Amino acid sequence: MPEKKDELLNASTKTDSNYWRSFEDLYKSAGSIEAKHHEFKDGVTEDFDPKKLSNFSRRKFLALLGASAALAGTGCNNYPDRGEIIPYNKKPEEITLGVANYYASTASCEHSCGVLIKTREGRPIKIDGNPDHPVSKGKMCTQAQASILDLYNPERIKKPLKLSSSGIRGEISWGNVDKEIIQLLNNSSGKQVAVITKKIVSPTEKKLLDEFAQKYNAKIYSYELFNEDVRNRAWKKSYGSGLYPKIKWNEARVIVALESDFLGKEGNRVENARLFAEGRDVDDIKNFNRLYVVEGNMSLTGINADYRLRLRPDAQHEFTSALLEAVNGSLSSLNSFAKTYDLNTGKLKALVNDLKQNRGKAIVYAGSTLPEAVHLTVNAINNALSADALFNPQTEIEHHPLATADEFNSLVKSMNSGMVAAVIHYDSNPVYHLSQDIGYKTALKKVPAVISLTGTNNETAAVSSYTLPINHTLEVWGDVQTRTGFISLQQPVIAPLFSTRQKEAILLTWLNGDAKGFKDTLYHEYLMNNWQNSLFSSTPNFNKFWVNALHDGVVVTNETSTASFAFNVLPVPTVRPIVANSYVVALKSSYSIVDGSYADNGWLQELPHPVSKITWDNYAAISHITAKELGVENDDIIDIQIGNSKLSIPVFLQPGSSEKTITIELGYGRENAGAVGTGVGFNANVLMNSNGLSPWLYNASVVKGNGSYQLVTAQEHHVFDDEMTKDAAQKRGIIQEGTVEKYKQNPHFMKKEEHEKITMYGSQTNMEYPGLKWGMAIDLNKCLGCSDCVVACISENNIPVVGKDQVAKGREMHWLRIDRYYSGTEDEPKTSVQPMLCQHCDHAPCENVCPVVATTHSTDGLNQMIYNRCVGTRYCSNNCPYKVRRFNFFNYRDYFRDGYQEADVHNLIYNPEVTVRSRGVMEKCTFCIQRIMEARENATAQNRTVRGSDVKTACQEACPTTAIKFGDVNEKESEFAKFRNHELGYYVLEELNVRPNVTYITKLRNTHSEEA
Amino acid sequence: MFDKIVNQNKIKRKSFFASLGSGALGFFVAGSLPFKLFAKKEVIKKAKIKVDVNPLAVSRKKIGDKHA
Repeated sequence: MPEKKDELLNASTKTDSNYWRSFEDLYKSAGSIEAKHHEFKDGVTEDFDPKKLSNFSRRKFLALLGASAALAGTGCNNYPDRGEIIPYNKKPEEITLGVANYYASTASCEHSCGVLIKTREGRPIKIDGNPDHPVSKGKMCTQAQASILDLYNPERIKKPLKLSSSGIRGEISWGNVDKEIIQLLNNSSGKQVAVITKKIVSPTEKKLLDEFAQKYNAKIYSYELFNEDVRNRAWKKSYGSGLYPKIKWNEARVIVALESDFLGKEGNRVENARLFAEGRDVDDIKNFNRLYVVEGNMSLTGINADYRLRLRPDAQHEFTSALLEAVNGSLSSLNSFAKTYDLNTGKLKALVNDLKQNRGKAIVYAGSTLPEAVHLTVNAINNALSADALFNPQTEIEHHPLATADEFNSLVKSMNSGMVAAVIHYDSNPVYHLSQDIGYKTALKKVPAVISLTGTNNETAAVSSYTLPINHTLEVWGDVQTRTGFISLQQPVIAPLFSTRQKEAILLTWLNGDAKGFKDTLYHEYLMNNWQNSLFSSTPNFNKFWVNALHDGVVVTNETSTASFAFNVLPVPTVRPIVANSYVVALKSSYSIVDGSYADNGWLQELPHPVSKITWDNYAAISHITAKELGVENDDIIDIQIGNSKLSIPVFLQPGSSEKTITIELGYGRENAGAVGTGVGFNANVLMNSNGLSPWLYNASVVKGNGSYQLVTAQEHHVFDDEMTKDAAQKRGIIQEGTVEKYKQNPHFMKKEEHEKITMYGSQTNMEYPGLKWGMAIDLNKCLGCSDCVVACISENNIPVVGKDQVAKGREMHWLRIDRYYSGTEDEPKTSVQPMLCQHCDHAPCENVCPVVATTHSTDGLNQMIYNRCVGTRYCSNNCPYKVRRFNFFNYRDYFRDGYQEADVHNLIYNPEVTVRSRGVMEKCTFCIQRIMEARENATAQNRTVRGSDVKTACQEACPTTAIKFGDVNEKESEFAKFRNHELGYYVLEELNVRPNVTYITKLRNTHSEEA
Repeated sequence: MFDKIVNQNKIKRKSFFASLGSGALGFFVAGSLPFKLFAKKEVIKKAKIKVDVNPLAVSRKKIGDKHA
């Protein structure tokens, strides 16, 4: 074998350009070279010898074959446990199968919205507004609606947990918890017990906390990350006492919002939106209000402005001082200010004139994040304008003042010096919320017992020695009193799903000092006793009163407010000029997850931002000029430094932002927020400290950072970059706008344009709908773009959460989206919003192209989907001009967060009247067909035909401004028909002749001229 | 001759039960272990859920109902 030996020796040095089949072949291993010398493998060419055959019998072979088939059949089967099917023969008296029950209650959202909880067979499936509630009047905020998802959060803490000395959290019984903590509290003599809670809105809870504080030498610290503290402080200085009053927005004719998002975040935005929209009625055009917004970043209020001025937030003080002078007669400061900040003097002059001409009906409203000096100046302006006529005599009730920064500093000092025996986190998360320079988290290590009462894991619970699971809002008793004139109740609509307890009952057990004294009705009895003996002691037949109060969810009291608005003339605070060439950072509350409390709520995380349409993240919003200055583009990281705190965060170029202004929403970057919320976005709380212009406003140094981060938006980023798409919405008539002046002069200006339109397909035979035909009308004057309707639709129609990666691919499943359009320039854009949903076209283009007839038309004008027929060709979606069809690219319940939405407890949220769709199926808005069918059944039972007014779609029901109308197109005398046939009504893409059934009422801007 | 053939093909009782037992064990092991090892791990622990109404709560049948 000399040849072989030589080849082996030279193999490594020989170059060979041949193809290779394996790495062994390529690297010429010895085995590979050896194998090349044999055509066949060893043994292949050996002679056949029957003696060498196995003596394996045919019987054994068949037996093993059968056994292996059986084994494979057993092992490979995937028969899921589908549970037991048992008759519901032990049902409670109030439940009728297939019929919903409603419970009146109060949500635990920041506005304490009055709600009606819809339950089916004992499980809550949807939260609607309580029409009897004096403030929310049948509407509720996004968070109140979405809070039902938290009830069925599979990651709720199910049993009490205790941190062992080895650092592991293990389960512990409630009995042992109570015993240990009662002992600890009893032995805390001489040392403080701190109870950290959020804002207290319940009179009975306040009574309980006071009793607890008295018994155990406890001190109550309440806080809110975003609050009205600065505004209220300024009010007390200007008016002597009380809190800043509620505003009668509906009576205001001119509103000037300074860095204030009163339609989106500040105050009770549901009430604000309702009252504001009352002043935007096209049928009361004489009283149409006018909104001026002066702000640094485009807000929800800003996109609804008739006039908008860009101004960095730290210049607001100088602006308000100049405005005060202007209102009092001298325009010189304002003109000079306009020159410095490059503001449109024409707009400013119009603003001043409007304010002066509408005394008693004009108000200037400063944002709660602005410094106290601005609020003091604004109070003086409002006094000069006699704006007290717009103050609501109902006053807010403050059960317990919010703790100041000094109080928290003092607490931390006591904790560090070992003077605090226990800290009880009473459904609060201060480790995440409090600014880092206080050193709260570090100080907790010095406290012997850290107790967290919480529903889910959070940053504070993670460092607590006891984590005690509490009931969800829908599982609790309670009362809420936010202002004079009424008091509302909370009642449990479902028994606790897990081994959790109501937080008040936990405290009550400790207060009673008896570990065995807990019972399910403990707090219910305490609450009833407080009402009977204290709040409503003079009520005869209390039990009947109590049942009626629970039925209505609210008790209207006849107390009269003693609020007076006597202004103390104070010297106007000296203007503090802005720091030259500095950046200003404005920290704001998130529109969806607020202060991070809703971070583990998938519906809210996926809800597009009302302005930027970004989902699943926060970002630094900057102007395009600032971006050029910093050398960054969308998604690039910038580094922000405030004092010793630093944050790296991606940027988003927000049209309409002022220069050198960086706006960031808080609530993101949570470290312990479950599978949904952990690690989503960036924690900008780290920037907060005590040296800002206000707790939410800072001067900062900003530089370009390293790398980039993908932000995902539900709408395209660069609407201004392309001449083809620039102003396309206006050019194609998707958005149609006019002015109040134009409408006053010619109420039919819209109809005139209609005749000039070109029809793409020519006339077609129109289908007749002689009976009932469903249609919708959306008033763009009242639609503010708040997205409450989107969440209502998600909840009603079992729409899944898909996750950021799928939204990036345009695969969000929302049946209803709020389109946001800009027109004009990047600096001074005009913004329009438009809810877009299936238009239920008479000539529906989707129906013609479906090869399996999965989408058809009903006799009452509905474009229907038959899920079982759909084979997922997506032709319908391609052919839909409105792009409102949604395709299930995956079974999103299984896909999102490793099957998070397939947990048993999560399944309880589904509306049983709506099919849960799976992979490969197309879906879209049905006009809430299940509600139509229910109304039809009820009408049949009453021996009559169904009427248009019998049905309210979920989006319509949720809309705080009643912008959405729904009804029978043929019912000419109905309220809906008024909008359907309104002179300002138009159809989107009408020229396509698909004959849509959603009418949009043209948006009117209340400018001074006919030109918008 | 016939008896011999019959005896040869006769299944031994002991071996039959041994096979049956090992077969049953095999079914159990195959059905419970190998495929579940590769199954997607659940991020959420399953918990027994019981839905009960609270008898002290007061419901209504319609949204706009007024109390008696």
